[in-house]
Amino acid sequence: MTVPLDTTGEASGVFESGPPEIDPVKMLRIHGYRDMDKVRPIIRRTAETISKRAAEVMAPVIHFRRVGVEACSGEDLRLVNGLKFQNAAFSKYLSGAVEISVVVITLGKALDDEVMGRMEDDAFEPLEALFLETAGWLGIEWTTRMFSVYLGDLIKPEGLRLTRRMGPGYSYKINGDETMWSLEQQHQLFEVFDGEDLPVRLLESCAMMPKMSRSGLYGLVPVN
Amino acid sequence: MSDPVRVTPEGWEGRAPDGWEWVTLWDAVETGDHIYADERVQQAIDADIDPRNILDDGLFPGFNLQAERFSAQIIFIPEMLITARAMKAGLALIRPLLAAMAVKPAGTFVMGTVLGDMHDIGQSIVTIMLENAGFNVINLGTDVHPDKFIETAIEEKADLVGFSALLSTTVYYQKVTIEEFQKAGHRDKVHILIGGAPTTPAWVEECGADGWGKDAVEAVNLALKLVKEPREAWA
Repeated sequence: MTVPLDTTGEASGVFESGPPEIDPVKMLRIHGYRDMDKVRPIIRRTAETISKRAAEVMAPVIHFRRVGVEACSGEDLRLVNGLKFQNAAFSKYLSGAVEISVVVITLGKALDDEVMGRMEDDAFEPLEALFLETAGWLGIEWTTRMFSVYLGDLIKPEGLRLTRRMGPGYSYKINGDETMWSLEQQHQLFEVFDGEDLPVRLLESCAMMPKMSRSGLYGLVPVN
Repeated sequence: MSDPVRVTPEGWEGRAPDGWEWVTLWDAVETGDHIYADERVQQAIDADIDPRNILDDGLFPGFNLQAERFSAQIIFIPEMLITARAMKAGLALIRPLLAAMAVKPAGTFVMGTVLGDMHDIGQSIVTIMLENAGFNVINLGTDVHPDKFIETAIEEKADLVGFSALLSTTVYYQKVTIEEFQKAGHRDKVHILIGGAPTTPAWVEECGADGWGKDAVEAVNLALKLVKEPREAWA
């Protein structure tokens, strides 16, 4: 569902991974349980039920756009379309990148609605809400991994490989110090999509709707 | 660490009809049996037991035991949540009665997740725990602008305000929101608590908050302590 980089230096695509696989044991481990035999049956049953329900309501979609890199030095990442990002970690983590692929990932609004519905007074099921949110985290991780494999395979014939994913709002280590990529640069990141109809809405505060969404970019680096 | 022991309320027999027992309700709250908790609290109301005694003698022993176990990391959030649900079922029946008796809440607490942060479940859990501890909680939800926190604190004459943040970037808005309370001249009228994954005791100092709860139980204990401490009165 993607096309190679065109002459304007940009290409976009949509990746749909299908329903994520959510392991209830992983959900329980996240909440501190080590010995599954000691987990109370009601909690284990709820984790199993919710892992299935979460997989049903999640609808993972990834929109991505490849853009050529004009320069990546010091704190600046400049793209061929004129957009710029600033973070001290770029020169380390995106070293050698000739393109970036910007991504917006979402699991869809239905999962948010399910979580909220279970916190309402007339249908108060906080444990189910907690496990749905946990499943959402695992779903986002799973979807991101699926996309990384997909994009890696896509660019391999072009002699390119992926860097690690970076995103506004995350911290990166440079020479032992932590540097933060400002969350406010979400706005530039969404601008890369140049008005494309996205399934994720960026709020003025830089938060994303649906809540179970993630944004970021990968560097595309020549293998040799 | 040894498993905490349930504390039986001293003299509870004198506050209940002859032959009454609470142990089944203590067990129900402890194990999260919300259906039985609802039934037993209704039976207690029908038996004319003072709603304050239903709360203190009937509901709190099981809840407090689980809270202690949670603090000691003997149980985890899932167990605490099913206990909270059972507690809430019982509280729903006695809260109107307490209000009719003009029993004051432990305090008014305005809660929300700071601007730029959509994370909800953590602050929702704290809200449940605060309500169970007797607070009137106004939960503003997620991505809350500092002005909204201030407006609500004024409207509700809040005793405490809580800012949740789960992202290392949005945690900065805890400091910004506290500064806005200062600029608006309301900083000393409320106690401000912060919480969330990136927060630390050191961050409390840096951002100018009054306290930090590493988990929901600690946040409630801190709120119960701070609400008794003096602060400037609302007009």
